[in-house]
Amino acid sequence: MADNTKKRVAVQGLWSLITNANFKGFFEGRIYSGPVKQICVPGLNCYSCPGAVGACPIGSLQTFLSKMTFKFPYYVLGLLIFFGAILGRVVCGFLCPFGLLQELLALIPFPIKKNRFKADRPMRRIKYIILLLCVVILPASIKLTPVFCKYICPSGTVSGILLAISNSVLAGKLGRLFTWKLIILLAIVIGSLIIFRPFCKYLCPLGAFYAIFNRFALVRLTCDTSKCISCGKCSSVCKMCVDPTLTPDSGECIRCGDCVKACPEGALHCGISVKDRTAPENSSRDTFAS
Amino acid sequence: MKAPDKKRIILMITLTAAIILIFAGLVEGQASAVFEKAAKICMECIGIG
Ligand code: SF4
Ligand code: SF4
Repeated sequence: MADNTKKRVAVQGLWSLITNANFKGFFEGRIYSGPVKQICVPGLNCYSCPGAVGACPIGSLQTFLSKMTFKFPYYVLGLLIFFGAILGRVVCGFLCPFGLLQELLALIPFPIKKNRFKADRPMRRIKYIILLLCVVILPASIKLTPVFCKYICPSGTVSGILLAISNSVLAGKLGRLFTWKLIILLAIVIGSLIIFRPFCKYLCPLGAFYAIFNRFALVRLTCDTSKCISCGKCSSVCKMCVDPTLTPDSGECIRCGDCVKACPEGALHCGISVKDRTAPENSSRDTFAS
Repeated sequence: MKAPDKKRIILMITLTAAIILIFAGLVEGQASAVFEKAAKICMECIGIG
């Protein structure tokens, strides 16, 4: 594991521990219900995880939209926009337990490892459709149904498994819906052994939301074109398949910093952006424009 | 106006909007609505329905 990855995994691990610090919940099969639960965490972290001390922003958003009497989700949306404006997808790179889980799975040796393929690019759009349809439109129209949580969210399925281990009453209630969600989780787990972060790339509505902010967030990636010698080392190390010399603002960039480390000329910088040194975006090299 | 200035202006507007939204939500008591949902096991989330 490269030094940069080790440091990042350490941050991700520490953050996951802090935000899932209700350790006794894992043994008692119960969840935390103290006052911190009214604050949304930035990453995808189901509030029904026995360890969770905060609320999941995507779940909370659906709760408001699917209420019988519609309530505009000022608070949750405000928090999400705040996280996005400051960090963009830094949240994905550093502060999401489900991102960490996929990265750990990616470290496991597997006969097929394939990160670049033709369908990759069009498939990245699916997460925006999920955000619009399963998090906003459907929950707002089918009352009391958080569609993404109920039918897709793998973080919720992990929570279900963790709760069922120590709570026999809940374990006895798991049925067809759980089987469906388990199939989705298994597909993501197997996918993560082959592709780097498949859920983040193709399915996560939270990643789609933060992607919008990557263009102007406080923390950004910049490329000093006067230093860049076009060696291509940065784009070849990028596991999210971004070319940071062309589109450092790409919504697909999780700000992991691997490209910054790989650049022999020190042309890339990731941090609070004070100066825009970005290359023109109309280049012909294959990259993610959004 | 140069692009970087534009980005910084968009960032400032977005941050201000976010803070206003958070306060509006707090005034409406939406933090406790989040709490109500988050403090109980969500049956949909864990796959019971
Ligand atoms: S894309 Fe979603 S699951 Fe992946 S790191 Fe970002 S918030 Fe977490
Ligand atoms: S462009 Fe750089 S910082 Fe962004 S995901 Fe790729 S390697 Fe990481």
